[in-house]
Amino acid sequence: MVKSEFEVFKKIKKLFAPASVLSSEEGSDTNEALMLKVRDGDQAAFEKLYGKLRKPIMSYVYGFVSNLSVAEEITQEVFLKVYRVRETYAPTAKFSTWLWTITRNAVIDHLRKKHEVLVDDLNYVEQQKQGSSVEQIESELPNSEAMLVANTENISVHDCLKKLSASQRDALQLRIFSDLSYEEIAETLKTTVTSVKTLLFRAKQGMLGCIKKKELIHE
Amino acid sequence: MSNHNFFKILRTKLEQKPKSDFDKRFWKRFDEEFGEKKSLIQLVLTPVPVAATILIIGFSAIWVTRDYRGSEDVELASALMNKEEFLDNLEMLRTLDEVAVLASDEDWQLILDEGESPREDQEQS
Repeated sequence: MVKSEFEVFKKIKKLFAPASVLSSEEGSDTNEALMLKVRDGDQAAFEKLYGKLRKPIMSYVYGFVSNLSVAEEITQEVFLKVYRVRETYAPTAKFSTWLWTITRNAVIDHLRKKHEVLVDDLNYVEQQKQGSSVEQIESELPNSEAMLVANTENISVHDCLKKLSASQRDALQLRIFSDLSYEEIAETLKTTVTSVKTLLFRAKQGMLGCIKKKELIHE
Repeated sequence: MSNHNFFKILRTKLEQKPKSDFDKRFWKRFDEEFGEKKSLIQLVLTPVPVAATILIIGFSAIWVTRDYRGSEDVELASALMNKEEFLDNLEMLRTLDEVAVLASDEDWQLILDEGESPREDQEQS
């Protein structure tokens, strides 16, 4: 099996990561280890998982619903569901993939009820774009662009996010808020790694273009 | 250099903080859903009082039903006893039954002979 370029990036990142980060990722308190404890009825382990993951989960949900109260409600329901179905968690599955699939399904259910977006929009598979590699997607921004994005108001960045297609937004948010690899994002979105790369490349280009436009208008 | 990573910058811009009472509300919901399970388990773990209650209810139900049926039978018997004709027939049937049981064929013949003899005697005289 060929390892993805992203996995190589992750390994390089780990080499330079602070010890504290490594200990939390590789110690006995990995998400998988905690979830196995939760499966056996350990409520304290569930509290740890909840504490670690409620913020990224809520941020992802907010990206789709744009309403804090609704995002909170869905996030709470996700964690209640995790506890409800804890006994079905299989140690062979990576916890993050399992959790983000539950979260994504909760968002889709909400959107379906509200008729805000068709589920098919989220299952849309983009055509492969030639030349979109992990290096391009993960490459550092030039100083001017990095400063531009960093200085743009949060609300404007959120507006730009809403202008992306549902599937681009989905892939981008999973890349931002989860610790999933490209393969795992593809598994969660039920698509190919190539499609994930294309979605992320286009999302990045779309966000940068939108932010630049907004800043130009602002000036 | 990591400050120039597009996704990291974007995360800081898009990350949402939950309201201050978020955790309180969540754990309240958690306790409401999974706290009740504990009390159900406690009930299951103490089967003796539950079994005793079921037994008491069961026996009471049988007892009440039995009394009711008994009183019904008494009422029926009382109604039958008030029928004079019924009682006469009952007495007749009982008498016949006793005779039938006690009398052999020879006894019957003797009874019949005794019954016929005076009449023959009267005719002859």
